[in-house]
Amino acid sequence: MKKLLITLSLILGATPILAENIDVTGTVQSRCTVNVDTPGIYGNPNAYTLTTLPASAGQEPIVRFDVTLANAYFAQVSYPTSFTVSPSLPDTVSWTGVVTVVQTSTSDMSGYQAASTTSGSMRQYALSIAGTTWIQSTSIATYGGGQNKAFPGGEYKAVVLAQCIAQ
Amino acid sequence: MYRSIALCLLLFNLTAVAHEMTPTYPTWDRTAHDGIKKVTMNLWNSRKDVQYYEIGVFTKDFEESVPFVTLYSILKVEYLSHVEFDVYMTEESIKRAVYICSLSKLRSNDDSKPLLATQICSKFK
Repeated sequence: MKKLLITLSLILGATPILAENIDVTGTVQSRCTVNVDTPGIYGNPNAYTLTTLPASAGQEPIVRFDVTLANAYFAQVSYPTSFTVSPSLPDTVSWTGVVTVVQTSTSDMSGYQAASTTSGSMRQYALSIAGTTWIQSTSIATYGGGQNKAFPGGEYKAVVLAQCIAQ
Repeated sequence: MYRSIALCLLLFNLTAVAHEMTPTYPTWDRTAHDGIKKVTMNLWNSRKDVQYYEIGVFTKDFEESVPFVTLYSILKVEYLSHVEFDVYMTEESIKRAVYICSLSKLRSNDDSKPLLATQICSKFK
């Protein structure tokens, strides 16, 4: 009995421990996601103005850019300079607008607005830090070429273009 | 419990309106044909208001379009789905190509509101 126990313990002790290393691999891929955070709405505070300003019952469109790696993308956002859908407009529409950073995921990004550049209605931001940036596009359309004529009744649409361009 | 549900709904809501294209820096692969190479791209659509994306290839500073071949230049990408697509180009065109872009195609609807077009451009290095 004693010999049997010793033999058994030797056999069990000699049994190799079966272990397998399972690798978990992953890759951080550079990517940019463009999100429509808030759709825009035009308010009509008077007969000759359409504006996204909240004080005039409008809603500012806000786009969110998520980037996973620093210095990989430029964000470009424009405000509209024409209507894509509108009734016939025989008179001139004057457009003004501004594109601004309204929120960032880290305080390190606070210099984005100051470092941005413009080209016409488009503003470009170098996304030099990984994270999230919210950019707002404000637009105001005035009808009548300075004479404040009433917009004809009907449907009006304009397009804000938000781009993420690889650096 | 309710907080978790609210957080999930909030996160779902935040991520359900996005457009994404990868890789950022695509590389060319050989094909069976001499002088023609291809690049494989991935497009993700979580914009409920968009079903179609237009593919374009451009020179430096977006000065010109560069000719390319793909199965559909306007791709249908269902809400919350991925589409992988190949773009074929001649070696001559590849020398000029700098950006490959996907642009959301917008439909008109009944609301008077500014629409948001999104474009993502990857770069050939």
